[in-house]
Amino acid sequence: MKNFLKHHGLWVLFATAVIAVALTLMSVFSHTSSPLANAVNVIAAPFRAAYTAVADRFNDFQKHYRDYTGLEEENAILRRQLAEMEAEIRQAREDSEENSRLKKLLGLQDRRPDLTSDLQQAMVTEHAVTNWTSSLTINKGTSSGLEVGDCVMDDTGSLVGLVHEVGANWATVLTTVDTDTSLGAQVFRTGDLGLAQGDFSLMQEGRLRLNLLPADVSLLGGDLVVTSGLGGYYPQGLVIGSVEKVQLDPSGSDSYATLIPAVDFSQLTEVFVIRSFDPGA
Amino acid sequence: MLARNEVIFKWALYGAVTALCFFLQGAFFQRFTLWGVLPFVYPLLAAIPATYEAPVPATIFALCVGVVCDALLPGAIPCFYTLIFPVIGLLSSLLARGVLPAGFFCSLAAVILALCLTDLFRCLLLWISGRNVWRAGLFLLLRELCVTLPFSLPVILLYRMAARKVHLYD
Repeated sequence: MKNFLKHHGLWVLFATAVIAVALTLMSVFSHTSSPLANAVNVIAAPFRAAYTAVADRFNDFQKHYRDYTGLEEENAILRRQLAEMEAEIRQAREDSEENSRLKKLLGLQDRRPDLTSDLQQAMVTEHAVTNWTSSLTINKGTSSGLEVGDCVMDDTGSLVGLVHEVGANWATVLTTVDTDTSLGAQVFRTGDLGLAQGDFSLMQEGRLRLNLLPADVSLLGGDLVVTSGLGGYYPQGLVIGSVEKVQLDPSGSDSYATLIPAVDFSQLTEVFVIRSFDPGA
Repeated sequence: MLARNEVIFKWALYGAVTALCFFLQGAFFQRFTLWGVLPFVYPLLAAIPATYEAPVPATIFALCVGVVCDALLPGAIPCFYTLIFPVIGLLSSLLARGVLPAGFFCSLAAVILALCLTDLFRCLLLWISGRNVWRAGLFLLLRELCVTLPFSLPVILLYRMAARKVHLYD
């Protein structure tokens, strides 16, 4: 090396100077890049792309890992928020239903102050338990002031039935279609009086009979039938149901009507027991 | 002393199976209707164990089940089940002793007998109280029988298991 520089040093220096000057001139006069720089970069471009791709891949992987863990945390937070919001929606629905029930009750309170002064709200805990009776079990009893024979109505003021048996914190209600139920009734439009009674054959179809109507009674389908309140045992004006059809009794002396109850017993969740009422109102 | 323990164990086991059936009826069977009726397994609880036992204890056990049913269920009269279930228990036991050997088919026959007797007794009581319900009642009996029979199978199997356990050395 020492010898090489001793013999050719000047030539090398000269060649270097020529190349440097040439490169400088080419870069001055070129509009893009010098041919040498261009050639070197053309050769380097695929290598640069390759290592950039590798680096990008590595960066992507790192970012993916970072994002994945972040997304997992975010997902957990969102799931928690969703569960909370769903719970809030459920609560809101329940509140809304309760609100609508209370509004109805408030309307009923305005219309029937005689009934609503001594009401006991109760939840239905059990529906029909045998095929031979139509009954409900509610979660209030003697501890809430309930007595056998108390009228039970829904939030619209329609008659559900009568308290049949009562315990400390429960009561059995026989619905209006049960064979053991019998109450004085009146057709709202005509004023005709009759006896609303459960009938075994009709109970299976969820219907009841309005007996002891005059033979020449002129009822229409859909006529509203309410409690008559005669005798003062039960309040007056509770809706029992509507007339489905009228038929002449086999004896020919009177007619009877088949009634559709105003209440869908299978859908009842909440009822109101009339503990006392003002018979004179 | 051992015999007494065995007796206690036997009736405790029957009692536990009966309590489980009460739970099944309350929690599941009376939550749906098929052909317009609920599956009604209460009469079965008086009939099926009776087929594995002597008439007197069978009748007494059925009486106890009847008392519980009267306490829980509304009936045509307050002692409806207390009256009819001992009869069912007695007849089921006699059926197993005289007609069919105790087992699956005897239990099935006892189930049919129990449902028929219970529903006919209801019809009779309603008829006595001035309601002519024979036609509708018999139709209801038919439906109740058809709907309850498939659900009687797990009840029969439960009592059969209990009976095998308590009559292990018979």
